[in-house]
Amino acid sequence: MATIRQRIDTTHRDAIHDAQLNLYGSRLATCGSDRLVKIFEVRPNGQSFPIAELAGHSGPVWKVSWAHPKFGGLLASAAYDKKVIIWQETSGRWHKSHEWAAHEASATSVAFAPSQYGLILASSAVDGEIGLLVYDAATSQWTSSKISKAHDQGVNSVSWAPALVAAGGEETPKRLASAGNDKNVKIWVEGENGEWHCEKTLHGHTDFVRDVAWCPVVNHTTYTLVSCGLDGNLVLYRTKNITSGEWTVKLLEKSNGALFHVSWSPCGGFFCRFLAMIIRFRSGGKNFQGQWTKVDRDNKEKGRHSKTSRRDSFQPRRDAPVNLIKLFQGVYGSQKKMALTCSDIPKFICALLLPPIGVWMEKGCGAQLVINILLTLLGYIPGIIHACIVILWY
Amino acid sequence: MSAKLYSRPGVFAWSPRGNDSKGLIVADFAQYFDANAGNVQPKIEFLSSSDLFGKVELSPTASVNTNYRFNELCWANSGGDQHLGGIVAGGTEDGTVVFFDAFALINESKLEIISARRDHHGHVLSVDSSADGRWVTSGAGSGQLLLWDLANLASPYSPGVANFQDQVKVIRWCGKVDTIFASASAHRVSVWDIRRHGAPILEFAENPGCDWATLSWNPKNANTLLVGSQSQTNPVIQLWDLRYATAPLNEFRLHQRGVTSIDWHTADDRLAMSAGLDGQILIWNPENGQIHGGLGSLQGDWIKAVRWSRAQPAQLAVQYFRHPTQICSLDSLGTPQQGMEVLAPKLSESLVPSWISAPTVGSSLAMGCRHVTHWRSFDIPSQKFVFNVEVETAFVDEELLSTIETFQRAHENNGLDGFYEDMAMTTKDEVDQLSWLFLSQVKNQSRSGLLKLLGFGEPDTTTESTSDATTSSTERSEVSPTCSTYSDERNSPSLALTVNRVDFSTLEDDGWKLLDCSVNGDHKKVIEELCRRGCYFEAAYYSMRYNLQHQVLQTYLESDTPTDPLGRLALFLGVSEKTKRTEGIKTRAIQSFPLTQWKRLLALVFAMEYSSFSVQNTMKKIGLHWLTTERKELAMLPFIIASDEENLLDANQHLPLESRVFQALGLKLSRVPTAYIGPKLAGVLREYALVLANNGIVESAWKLVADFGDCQEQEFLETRYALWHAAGGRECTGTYLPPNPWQPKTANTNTEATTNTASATSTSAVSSERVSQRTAPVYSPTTSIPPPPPGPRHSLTSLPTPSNPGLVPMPPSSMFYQTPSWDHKPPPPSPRMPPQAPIGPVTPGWNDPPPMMAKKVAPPPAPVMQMHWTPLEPSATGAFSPVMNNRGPPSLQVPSVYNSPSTGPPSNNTITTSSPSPAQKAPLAPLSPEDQLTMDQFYQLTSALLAASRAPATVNKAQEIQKRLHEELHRRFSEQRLSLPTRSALYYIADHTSKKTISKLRRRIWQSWLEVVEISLRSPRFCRRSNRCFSLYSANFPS
Repeated sequence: MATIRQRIDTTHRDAIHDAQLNLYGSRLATCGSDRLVKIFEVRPNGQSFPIAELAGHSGPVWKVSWAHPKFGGLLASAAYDKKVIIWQETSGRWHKSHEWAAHEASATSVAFAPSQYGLILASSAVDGEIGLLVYDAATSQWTSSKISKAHDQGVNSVSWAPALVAAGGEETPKRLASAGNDKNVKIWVEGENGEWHCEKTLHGHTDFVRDVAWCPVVNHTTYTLVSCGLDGNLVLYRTKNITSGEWTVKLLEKSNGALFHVSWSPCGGFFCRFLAMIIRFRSGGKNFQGQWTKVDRDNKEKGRHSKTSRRDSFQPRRDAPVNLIKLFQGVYGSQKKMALTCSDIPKFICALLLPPIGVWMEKGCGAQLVINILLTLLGYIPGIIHACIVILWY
Repeated sequence: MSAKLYSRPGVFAWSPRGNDSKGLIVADFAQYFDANAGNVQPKIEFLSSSDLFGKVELSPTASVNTNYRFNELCWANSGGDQHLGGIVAGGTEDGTVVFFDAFALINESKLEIISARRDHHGHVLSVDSSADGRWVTSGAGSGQLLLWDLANLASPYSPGVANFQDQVKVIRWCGKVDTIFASASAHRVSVWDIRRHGAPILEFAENPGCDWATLSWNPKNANTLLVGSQSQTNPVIQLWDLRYATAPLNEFRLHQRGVTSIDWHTADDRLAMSAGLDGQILIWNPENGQIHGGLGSLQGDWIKAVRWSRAQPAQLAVQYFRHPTQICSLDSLGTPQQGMEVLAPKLSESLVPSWISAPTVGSSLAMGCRHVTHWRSFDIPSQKFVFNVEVETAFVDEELLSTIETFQRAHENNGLDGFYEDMAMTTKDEVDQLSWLFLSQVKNQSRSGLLKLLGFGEPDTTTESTSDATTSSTERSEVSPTCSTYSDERNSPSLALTVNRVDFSTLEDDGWKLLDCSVNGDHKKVIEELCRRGCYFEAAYYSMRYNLQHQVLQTYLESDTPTDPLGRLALFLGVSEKTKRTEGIKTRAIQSFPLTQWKRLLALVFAMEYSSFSVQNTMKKIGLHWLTTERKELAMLPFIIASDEENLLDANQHLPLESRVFQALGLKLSRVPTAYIGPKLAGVLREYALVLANNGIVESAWKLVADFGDCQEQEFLETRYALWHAAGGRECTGTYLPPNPWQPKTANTNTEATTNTASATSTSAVSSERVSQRTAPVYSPTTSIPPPPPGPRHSLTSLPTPSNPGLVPMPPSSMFYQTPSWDHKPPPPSPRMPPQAPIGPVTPGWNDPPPMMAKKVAPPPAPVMQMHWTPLEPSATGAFSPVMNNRGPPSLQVPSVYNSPSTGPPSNNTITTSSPSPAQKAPLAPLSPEDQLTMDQFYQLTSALLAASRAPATVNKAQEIQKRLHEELHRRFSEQRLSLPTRSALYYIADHTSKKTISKLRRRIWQSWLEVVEISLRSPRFCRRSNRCFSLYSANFPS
């Protein structure tokens, strides 16, 4: 099936900072430096037409976020004017529903919580705070609270953990991940009394972390997070037991330029920008232990700029984005035999020559390496077998 | 937007861009006048950026004692390998230019002086380094400039001789061109190019009255620079373009008193900062002088210098003559110091610094692998950046797509059988393969076919093939097991043999008693006795005559007679068919059947069960039993035959999801299509649809769930709702919005307004009413409580039409309206008309054809017939009650009294007397020929009625009819008050009554009046009944 590429004439007069589809992919919201938020209807057959143009911010709008469609048409936008505005659609007309002077400084991002939690909104700001806005249906009021000093030097992004309703019916506490200029990703959890505290600080970057995204799919109890930063690292964090706070950190990709944006698709794929990579994980497989593989994607037009830039040995800079979008695909071992990736071949060779090297290339220094060294010392063959298993498994 | 104060006053230098250690180096200021005359040890200190942020009270990371005090510091990234942290140069008060290693200072707290030569005379007021970190220039008194090569600091060079002798106040290298720098003395600004020795390449700004103290280059080009005058009377800032060096481009008077320092922001050329002797620090636009903000400063002191941080664009530092160094940030500096809020910088919101701009590339993904990308690209023809937004469906999984499309195409073309056969080819596992093959046979359910699949039935294919259509129970003998037909054939000759042996002479007393019992009809006793004696065979044969086999069987099974298991099995085979009460045996047989022989068991059921219904029942039983065993997958086969997709899904859990869906869906589709699906099917269907959607195949996913609106699973409904949207709404799917599983009201308003713009006018009016009733914006009625399963009530409220009959209704799609009802049973047949309806007060037009509704309002609501009819009621019920009771059921026999044809002449006089009287009452207009004809025919009918029967009831009735015909029908005809359809119906009826084509008449009555009257062709009854139906017409024909 030929994919329909649909260029949308947004008529934004300045830089576009965010474009978000709603859950169904039927509406598109864009925002930009011209202080406007625009809404379009897009159809799979390639049609699109504008629905609304929302003016209300007095500064560039950085981020927009759609609420779950079950709340009706509801959109939040965060802007440089320190405000978060919630826009509502009633009978086809859009209007400002709530204006929240959330922060002391520019509000960098905004995100609606998973619909199971009700209408909750998180926003982040340059002043290092995370704001939370909760809608009380009974009183029709928004109540706000704050996590102060979440990140030194500013928070760049917030992302909600998926709501996992356990088999027993008990709800997991709400969790947030935030990325900040202190080079950390932090996980926040709501306590019994509604207070938020930092559950875990994840280190995976050497420079500002620009974006963090929580995988919307939870396989059994495995949560996955991904973050990207100015150091060009794309880091995957994963935990089997979130309460234990034991996270495995894996560097997925080290790019030459800074990475600014990462997002998962609703089904669990994600997208990273600026020498950006689309990373997609196929959900549905029972076995979450998959390999991330890059999938080539044609970038006819988008890539042109980058190619010329490269020929001129152009150093990508923040203000001159090079859009090379790479597609990542996660494969799970159980259904398709794609666990063997190209990158594994040298590992195999190493594993055959000296098994610990193969394991080290796959897993780094860790328990598996120690086991492998022991096995190699005990006998060469067990070491090789173990190394092959490790390479195939992860 | 915060500020902090360092504890010491001092001259500072920010770390250059690209340096690993970020922060600022602070040293003692040469012109510092200590009022307390304390003996303060000069120090060089380093404040790291993280400390600036993290610590409330700033303290240095590294600090070394020194004897030097500096007028200005600069920190250069040196190109060499020796000084990785860069070199800091400082101009001292005695003409010495000190170079020391930054790395040693920061990391080892050691002052590693590389060079300290005293080549200048007097204060070295300014030092600055080139952007490439290769050169440093220092300037001092007498117009003396020295150029230092950072790679070789042994001796300085001279860039040339200045043609002035003033003190050099400030030196700044151009940020864009590595070889150009500018120096300013009090009355002129010189631009130097180190490639051209000897003299400055340009001298300008020799304005009288100006006392230049500071300058700053444009960070974006090498053409423009700002110079500031510290003259108290002429505190001017001028913007110069070196290409037109005769006059300044622009002149700003922002400060009241002399300007001491200017810094043009390196990251955003729209921002410059300047400090004046009036104590103001302003942030403004160098292009037009518009002030964007400023920062608070300490009072009672002059500001010596302001500098933006090179590494952290939001940060800046201020140096005072006597007061501590002030460090500010446009964003946050962590925990603020007490009372420092007044010093914080303020920047107008109208100006967004370029460095905090959000990325201009990003993407987001939505259901169905729809993703939107936005990015910036450079448009070469127009030489501008353009911003693009693109939506596309990405990463469509071709494999999945082809599978689902094949399935759906097969379904649409009625070719699912072939599809399943293909599926069977793909698997090796016998059970799986069989399950697919069974599915392919589900539609035509031929037993022989199924048997053949199991590997049976080859020997007698001819007989089996004749009995293909075995689903009907009438043909069961053909299909019934081969063994029974076989035994029947064998029995007849053997019977002839045994007859010869029958000899009653040998009978004993007991035998005679039995015979007596048999004669008396007490067969049970006979059988009991026979069984007691062990003559089961005989008992069985005896019982066959009286259908009492079960009794024999029961006794036989209860007895402990040791028998061959084979014998029992044969017994089971023989008997299970014949008797109805063998369910227990069947169950036992199923359970005892070894799993390895599953094929035989299935074949047995096909062979033995006589109706498809019982086959299905038995199969279900078998399946349920097999589900409990370890070979669950076997249970697929019986469930497929039993057409039970819910249990099938339990059985085929080992198959991949799509196979499970195809199997279950195939079973579902093979039956009569209903919108209802069970919870398990809904579960897998939803899962599969989501997998499809996640792989970019929304359209097929929607098709998959589209037909099943009637489901109790909330999740399924949610998914269905979502897929409808994802598939493109009404235009693309061609169906109406499914009921919103969460919230009926909002969904209605939303979608109608957006998707159906044509009819939006009316509906939006309604919805806006609804909205206005709310006081506050309601997003969802109850967000915390899980939404209730959509009951019929919900669904009904979501329908726009029933609540507002006045609205133009959307054309009802049957799908849409079926969804709310739970039960997939067909709606109950419309109840027949209540029998008392014609007698009781008749509301005019109660059974009118729809178009009459509007007209009905116009005539006055005093119908003639009501007035005439009501007084008649008691007599009517009394007189006609038997007739009335006879209506309806056609089989009811009418007592012959009423049927007896009377031979007497018809009392025509009653008619003649009654008919003129109404005519006299009201002068009637002449009728049109057709009307007249109709009337005549009706009159004829009534007279025929009277001729047929002289019973008083009939006579009464006929008279009544005639009267009414005359009074009402005639009048209406004449006044033309009948609508066209009514009239044509009357014509039609009249025509057919005259022709006696009753069947057509009956049909017509059915259609137009919904009145069921059985009319037989036998004349008396016909007459009577048609008379009755007539009375109804006359009673009810609408005005």
